[in-house]
Amino acid sequence: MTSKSSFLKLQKEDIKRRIWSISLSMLAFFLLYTLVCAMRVSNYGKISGSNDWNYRQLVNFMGPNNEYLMMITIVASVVIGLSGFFYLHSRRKVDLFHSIPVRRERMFAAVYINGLLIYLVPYLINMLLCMVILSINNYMTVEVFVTALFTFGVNVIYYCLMYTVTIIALMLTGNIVVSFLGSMVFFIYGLFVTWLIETYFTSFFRSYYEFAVFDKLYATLSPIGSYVKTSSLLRDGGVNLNQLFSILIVVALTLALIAFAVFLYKKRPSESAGNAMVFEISKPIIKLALVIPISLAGGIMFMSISNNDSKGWLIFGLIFSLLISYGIVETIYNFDIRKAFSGKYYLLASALTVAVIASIFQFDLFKYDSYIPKKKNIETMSVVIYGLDNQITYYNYYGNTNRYISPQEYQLNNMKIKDFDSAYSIVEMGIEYLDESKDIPPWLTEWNEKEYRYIVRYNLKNGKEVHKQYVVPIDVSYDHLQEVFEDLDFKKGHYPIYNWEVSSIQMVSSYNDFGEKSFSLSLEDKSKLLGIFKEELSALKMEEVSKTQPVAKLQFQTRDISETYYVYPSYTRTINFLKEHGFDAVSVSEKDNIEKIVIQNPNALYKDDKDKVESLQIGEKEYTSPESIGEIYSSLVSDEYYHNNRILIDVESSINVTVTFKLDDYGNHINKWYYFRKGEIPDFVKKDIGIQ
Amino acid sequence: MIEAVNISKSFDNIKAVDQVSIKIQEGNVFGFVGTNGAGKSTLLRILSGIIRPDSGEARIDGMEIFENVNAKELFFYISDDQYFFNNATPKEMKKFYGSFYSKFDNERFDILMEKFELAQNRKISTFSKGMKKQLSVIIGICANTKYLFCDETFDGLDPVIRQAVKSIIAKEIADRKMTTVIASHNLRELEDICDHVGLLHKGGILVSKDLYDMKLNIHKVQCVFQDEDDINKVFDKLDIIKQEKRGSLYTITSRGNRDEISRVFDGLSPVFYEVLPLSLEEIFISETEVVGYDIKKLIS
Repeated sequence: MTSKSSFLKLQKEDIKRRIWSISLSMLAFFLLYTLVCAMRVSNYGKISGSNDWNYRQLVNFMGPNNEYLMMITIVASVVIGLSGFFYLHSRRKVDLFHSIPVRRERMFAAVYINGLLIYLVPYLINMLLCMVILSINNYMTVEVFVTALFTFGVNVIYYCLMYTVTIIALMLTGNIVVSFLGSMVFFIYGLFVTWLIETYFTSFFRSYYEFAVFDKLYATLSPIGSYVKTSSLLRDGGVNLNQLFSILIVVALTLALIAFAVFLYKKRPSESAGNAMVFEISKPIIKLALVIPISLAGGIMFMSISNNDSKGWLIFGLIFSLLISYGIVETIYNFDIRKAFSGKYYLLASALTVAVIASIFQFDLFKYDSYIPKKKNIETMSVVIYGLDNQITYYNYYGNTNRYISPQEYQLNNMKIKDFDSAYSIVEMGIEYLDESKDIPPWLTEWNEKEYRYIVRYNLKNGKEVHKQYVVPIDVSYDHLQEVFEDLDFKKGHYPIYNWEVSSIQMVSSYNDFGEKSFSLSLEDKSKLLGIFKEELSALKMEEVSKTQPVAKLQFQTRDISETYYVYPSYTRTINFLKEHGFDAVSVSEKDNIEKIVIQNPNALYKDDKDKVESLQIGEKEYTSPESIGEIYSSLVSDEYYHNNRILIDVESSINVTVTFKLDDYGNHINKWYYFRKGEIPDFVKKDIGIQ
Repeated sequence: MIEAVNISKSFDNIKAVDQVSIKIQEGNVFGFVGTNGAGKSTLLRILSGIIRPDSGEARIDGMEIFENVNAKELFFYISDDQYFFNNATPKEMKKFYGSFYSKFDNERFDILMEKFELAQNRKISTFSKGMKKQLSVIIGICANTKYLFCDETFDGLDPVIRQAVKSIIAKEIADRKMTTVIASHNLRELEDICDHVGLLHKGGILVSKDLYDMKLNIHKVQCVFQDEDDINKVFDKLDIIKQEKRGSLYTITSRGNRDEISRVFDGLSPVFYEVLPLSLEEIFISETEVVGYDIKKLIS
């Protein structure tokens, strides 16, 4: 059996026995690829061009991150992987295959390649069918063809990775159930460990900030994680060098794993068929790798269920899960429940490891929470201040589209504060305040006006990044906060407008409650406006944000996104520019158009003298005289502006103020809601609404 | 020639084969006998290159067997429970094996299938246990290999088929000097076909002897003497392995060929004597008793 034809014969004989998996693969691709494609095409109808939404949807369908194709790829890799080498679990079959004159490498190659073909050929056939359907309906373009082909390549690469991992799981085990469990462990172990680490960090460390720190870990440890991540990155960002490099790494890793699988196949003793584990050496490694994280997960789950983070339940959970998981693993190893606790030294080693890890987190033995990099090691810092400019939405430019990303991700990635003394000082305050803020859950962004959440990234000189988050009291950190806010590096990372290209701006408009204007600007005008606006934004003081009310909003719009910025009274050049182009933001002021102001004090206390009973009622008063309105209005701040900058603005939040504006002479009016700035309620209002 | 030198194999601290050394000459029919768990199948699987021994060497025509395609082309292994693919027919199995054994005799396969009245297009899963055994022997024979390894192959065959199978094997041996290694727990099965027998017990070989030599050199004598002194002279002159007395009838098992033994008795004028050949089972009982084993407990 050395010739090429004999290898083909071997493949032919193997494929004869795998007709069912070929049929299953063909059916899955037909139903979830060809049929879905046909249904979508029939739903979409005709397209109007390459930017047509329907067309883009079809390009996405043929592209990476097609959930149906990913699902087929994952399931097929397990089913085909297990069915191909399943014979190794049967003594009768092993006797047949290992007694015939065929080298094991050759046998492996034949079965492996057949397993690949069982996935690949139905995929190709159905991809061609999809292309035929698309062509008939005039959806077929070079872009669709290239995307489909590229996706095919990516899916095949990840299929090979997961298929090989499944085969390795099968090589290490001697029983189909254990093999399947082994595959699942290999597939999700990385995700599980990542979840566990994040859960422990979140549960025990108050300064831990979850920012894709373990993304790399789960993508590295889990083939599914890597597959999902790469596919979504390819979908979002198109093909770039980074993606190609990571795919190359996957190819190299797959080749290495194939070599490892061949090695295991050759080393695998035939007599191990039917045993749980094939190699003695792998038993303790797999046992510890399972028991330790499962015990830790059990501990944290019991602690969470207890509702008050009880340490007693943590300990119970750790011990309980340790014993249960150890017992199950040993029972599977020996197929004998009486041996559930054999190998006591390993049980002891597991218990010690679990205890050490739990102690590290519980007692913060490595001083994680109080860790702060030395200034001399920091290149730049990025900070995110919750409760500041909440009106801004952040996007990242992927390929030819913008996609929403979180404010934290945008700012941390785009901000580089070089003069970081103030930012650093706020961190020190946050560390001092750790104990006081221990009851504030890490996911809560706003809870009161006295404290704010402060996220920081240290970009270290050695290239590493350290993320932390703190809760900081406003009063003690106000001066430092002011310095940070007024730093241009902060603003460049905080306001996305700094990164916008003039050429991408398609439309500019401005509005306030009394008017709006969409401008027809030349590129030169746009450039001028953007320049002026950025200059004035750069000079914006925190004091102004805190004490004044913007006169208008300025909206910049690209093809698919828009950003809105406040225009403050100090932006005189911007205001003049707008005026020159037909929008007067300041002449028509809100104050001049107020019809009435209604003030409510829901907590007003009234005394009923007859019955000597005190009761809470709503104290309400309506003001219509220009004098009263003028005095009241100068103390107000709009609720929208307050909520967008709540850490800088202190208000009497318990008093509701409704201002009715008259829009025109036809009786149209609009209601807006306001708050009094802290301590600025006029005395006559206090008296009228029952404030003591 | 098949040669095993100090072969040992353990499964989970249980010694299945312990320091076994054997030589199987070409053209021989070698029988491994022993109780269940004696290590027969393990030894045969080692000789078939399925299992790698923990220590020692197994060679066929001077070649290492494990993971050696050239060595594996020289033999066909019929396991005690031969595997046939799901829904496969004999015809499909013929094609399968024909792909791997270059000298596979398709014509002979068809003839033998007809002789044994086995339908080639019937699903093997519908065959009886005996029919599957017949099919596995037919495939083994038709593989046309130099060596044939059979593990409990005659088990489950009816007497007629058993004889037919034996005669086919005998014909192959006569026609093309095929060497056959048969493992069985039944000594009587091997008696009329084996040239050489190795008795396995607890992984080790107790006795390994040429059957013809053994049969020629050991005999059972039943005799009656008038004078008790004469029987003592017999004991002195013959290499007695075993003796029994029931009334005046002595049953003696002695080494030596028929003529030598007869000569001793003729010289002593007994009332009656008869030199009888020993069955394989009797020979083994005698031989193993000599080395201290109660063989009756070891063989069926």
